[in-house]
Amino acid sequence: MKGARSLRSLAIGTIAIGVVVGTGAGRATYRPPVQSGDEFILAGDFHVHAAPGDGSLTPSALRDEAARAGLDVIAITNHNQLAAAPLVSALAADANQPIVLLGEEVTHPHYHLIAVGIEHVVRSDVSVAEAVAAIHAQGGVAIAAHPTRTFTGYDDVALAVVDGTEVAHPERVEKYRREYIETFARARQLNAHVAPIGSSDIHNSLSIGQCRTFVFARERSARAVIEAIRAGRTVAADERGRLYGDASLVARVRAAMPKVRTDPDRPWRRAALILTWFGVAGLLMS
Amino acid sequence: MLSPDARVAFKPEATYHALVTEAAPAPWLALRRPALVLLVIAVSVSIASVHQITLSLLLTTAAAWGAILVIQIAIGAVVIASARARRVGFAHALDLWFAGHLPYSLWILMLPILTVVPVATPHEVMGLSIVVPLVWTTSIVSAFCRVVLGLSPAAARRRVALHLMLVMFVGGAVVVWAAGGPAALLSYGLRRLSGTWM
Repeated sequence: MKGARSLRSLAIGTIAIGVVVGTGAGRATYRPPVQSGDEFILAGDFHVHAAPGDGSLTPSALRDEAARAGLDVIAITNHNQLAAAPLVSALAADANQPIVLLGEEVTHPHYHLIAVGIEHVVRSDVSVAEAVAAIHAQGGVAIAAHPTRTFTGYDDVALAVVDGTEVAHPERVEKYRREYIETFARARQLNAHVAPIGSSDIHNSLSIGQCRTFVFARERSARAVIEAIRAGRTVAADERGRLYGDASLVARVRAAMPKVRTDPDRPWRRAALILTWFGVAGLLMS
Repeated sequence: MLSPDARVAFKPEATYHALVTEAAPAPWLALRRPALVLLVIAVSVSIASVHQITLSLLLTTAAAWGAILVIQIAIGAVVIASARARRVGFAHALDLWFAGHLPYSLWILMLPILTVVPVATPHEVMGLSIVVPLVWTTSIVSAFCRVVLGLSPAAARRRVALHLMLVMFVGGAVVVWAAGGPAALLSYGLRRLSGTWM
């Protein structure tokens, strides 16, 4: 009995030390965006899943992680629902934190469509063109999500009206990587201003901003981000560092050398999570 | 040296017989087991998602996933409240119900390790591996029903079936909601099975 109590105290102590060390080492410092001429180059990830939904982290935790990943703006895009909306609204615009936009992944058997900058749920039982019109009516932008050929909703009519397509999306299969590029090329033939988008589509892994979008915005605001996407002033970056978009914009991104992920306290963070994990395991068993 | 919860997991019937004779814990002490479940969820989600532990991350994650705990309490309440011949009061029975949570707690705690296995997506690994606690918990719930609720073996089997049904129905409903509805989930499943995307 006494032995069990000692083990339990040890486990609680280990958890406490883990949390203290982790909190000290886990501060995420937001770095201001880089400037290029009259515009800011904002690094964005416009396809992020959050809790409540099929993402594991809350919008506020995702914002901290976005700061660490060198992002300036993210969009919370859960499937066919906006349950995270109150949590996004609670994150007041803060110059020292990444911008968090409300969005939705409009999920239909024949297409997935990212809506960014909306306030109400966009119906998913309609065609792409109708969904895009509903998004535009709310002042948002519509982005074709991971548009492989199997998503048959992306015909010419649909690609002519979307504001952007995900040309960079984390991908293990080369064939699908090529299809993202082909879809973007098709969309560009139909609409010269369609924006190249890079998104991580994270649900529960450490890869926010793995693929990202560089947005040439006239100011650091949600409105300016939406306006830039609508005008096609973006460059997409995939997880291998390849850039997609207009040659002049790609050159500006290269010249500006945008922010990347920083993690100076990684050994401490790792020590903290090992301590806490073993502490919790000990607490369960002793 | 093993906790009562660990003993319940490995020897449910004998341990419940011992626990049911102990005095009921104070109401605030009855919260320690649900609180531990919430801590396990918060730690596991934080590690799996961002390889990080901070106080604010634990608190926000626990708040966001608190609904899971509420669902578990509700399911436990349904199973307990309908047993009139139970040998302990409702609060004590609920405390003992959570003493049987170890299989799920260990599964949740193992998720940061399981989900980095590169054979499937994290969601699929979770969906497949949950079978282990689901089956393991069946024997614990059966012992709980017989010893704590004082039910006959036949009635205990019916409660086990009810529990399984509730877990699968509520769990399934949450998954369908999060995936964007039945059509979205079905099309995702078909794409994965045919290997045409992801």
